[in-house]
Amino acid sequence: MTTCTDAESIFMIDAIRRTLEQEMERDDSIVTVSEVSFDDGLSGGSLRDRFGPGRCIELPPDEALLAQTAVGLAVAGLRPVLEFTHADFAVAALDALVSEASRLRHRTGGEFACRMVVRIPVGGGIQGGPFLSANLDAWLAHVPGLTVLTPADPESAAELLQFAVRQDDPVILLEPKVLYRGQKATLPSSRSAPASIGARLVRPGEDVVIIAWGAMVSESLRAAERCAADGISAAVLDLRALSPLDEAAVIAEVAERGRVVVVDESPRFGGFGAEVAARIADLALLHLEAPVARVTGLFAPVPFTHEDLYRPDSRRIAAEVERVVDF
Amino acid sequence: MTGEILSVLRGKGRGQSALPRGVRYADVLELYAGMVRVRRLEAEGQRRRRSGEVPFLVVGGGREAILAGVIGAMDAEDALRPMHLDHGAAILRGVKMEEVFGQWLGRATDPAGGSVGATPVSRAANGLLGPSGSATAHVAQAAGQAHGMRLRGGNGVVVALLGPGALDTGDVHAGFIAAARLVAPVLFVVSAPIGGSEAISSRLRGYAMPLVRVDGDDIVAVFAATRDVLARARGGEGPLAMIVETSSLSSRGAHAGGASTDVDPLARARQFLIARRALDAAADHEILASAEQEACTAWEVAMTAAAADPRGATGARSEAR
Repeated sequence: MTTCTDAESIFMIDAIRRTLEQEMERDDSIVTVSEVSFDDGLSGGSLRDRFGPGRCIELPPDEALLAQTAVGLAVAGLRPVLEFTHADFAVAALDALVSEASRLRHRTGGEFACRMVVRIPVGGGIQGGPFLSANLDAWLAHVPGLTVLTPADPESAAELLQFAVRQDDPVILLEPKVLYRGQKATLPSSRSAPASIGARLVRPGEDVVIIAWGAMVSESLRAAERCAADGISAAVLDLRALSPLDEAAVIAEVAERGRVVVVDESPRFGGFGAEVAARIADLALLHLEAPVARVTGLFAPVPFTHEDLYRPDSRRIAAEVERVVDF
Repeated sequence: MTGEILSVLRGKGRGQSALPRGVRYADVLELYAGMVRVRRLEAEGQRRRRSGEVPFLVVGGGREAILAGVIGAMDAEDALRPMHLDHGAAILRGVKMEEVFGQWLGRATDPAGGSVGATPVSRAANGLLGPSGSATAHVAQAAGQAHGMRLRGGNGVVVALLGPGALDTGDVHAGFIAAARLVAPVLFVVSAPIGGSEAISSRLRGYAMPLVRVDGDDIVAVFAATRDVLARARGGEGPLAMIVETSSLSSRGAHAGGASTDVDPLARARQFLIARRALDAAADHEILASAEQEACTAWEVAMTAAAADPRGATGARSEAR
């Protein structure tokens, strides 16, 4: 449910900043944890000026330290919102996220909970090269105890963050860097929080459905436009939640059209797209009129140059859509 | 400099020194009874591990004065982060022995519902969070937890127990820095082998934490020192460190079996109390018998309990994925 008041056109990064500020105003148990002197981050700038260093905690640039400290804050009953600079560096914090945060409730029989949000800037498209472009979607969605969400537009970014800070277990927000200052969207200045997060059909279409998440949603929308010019009507489903996956929405959209293309920015092998494809095979096989197609990143580190060859783009997606429709 | 090692039960435990101010013989007697319970629980653990009844169990031995002294000085609002081998901490913080055994065995008396196995028990109401997979993750967590407790308006201190090996890790280095930056009310209790506390002190001085060195086999010294440093942490001094020299880290320690009374913390406490006429043979027998009965009954209860509910062990959320 969205309550619109005073609509304003803003970037995704501003939607996140504004939502975080509003949530910290609403709930004084929300604190932020970030690197000291992370000038591009949200937590250390205006938020710190407003809420003070006690609630906007800055620590040395050690991702494991940030994450373990955030777990400790959660143990004390606070709701830390942890901000990493890049997904690549967040790998150093996997022990805290996987062994500690995700398992805290389970291993203590529910005595302790880790009410923690982890904001991880992900993905390529920014010429970040092999150390600033990683996606951790498949890695983190594989971990029981973590909820993994990823926005594809400013509205979802605000909505997902609102949802995340109300959960009783850790939530990972994978924020596509390329979208931070991509398209603007008109958002209400305030909204009521969603009770659940599911997939969203962002473009209707009759012939085929493209399933995407994060930065790949906008590429898929562009691909659908290309296909429309060739007379193909392609729908686009934005997953938004990778774990738990909105399986019902996926199956319903596939069953309606019988043709599906899954778009995954990460490498194909062992990627999250493989999980989506497997679910479709499990639950919608008899509805399929063509094999499940996948358009993915290459099985290689993200390059600095020729990034366009690595990442799926609207041209590659459209070509795969045409192949599936012609099958 | 950190000064002399604080020790009350010097020499062979005859109690040459007076009790520190504010410490009564009744306090020491109570601490001694706690040490006996810990010793008995750990003996059960060692026996059951050797027999194969309890898998993956690591129990301490000879750390009774550290556990009983530190925990005895803590307030209810304080929180404890024990090490992997500190199973006795739970019973000193109010957890039933049958629950500890239940967790080792994955029975219905398991507070963790069969999910975790033989790690020290966690219980929020008792301010007790056992360790996870990493031996050092709890240092930075302790800093965050202490800061969080303070932000929420509490006046508690987080007490984190560490072994000397942990100091060689980056996690601990970073955690100390976080605690200092946050001026977090944390007490790091670092174990050292006999004669090893000065070397550890010299390393910890780099973090600008106030330090005390204590005879970790001396229940009175540990209790008194902990009480004092907790008051300082509560008063806003930020993180502090207490280095406890313990014979449990030497080959002659009580954990190795056959320890002599000059290094066994339990024997030293007993001799001290008897020398001061605060304990006689009959009362001592009663304490030992009580611990024996508690352990036997608890084991029986845990063993005969049903297996832990599979919904707890597998996690309710797993059904949805």
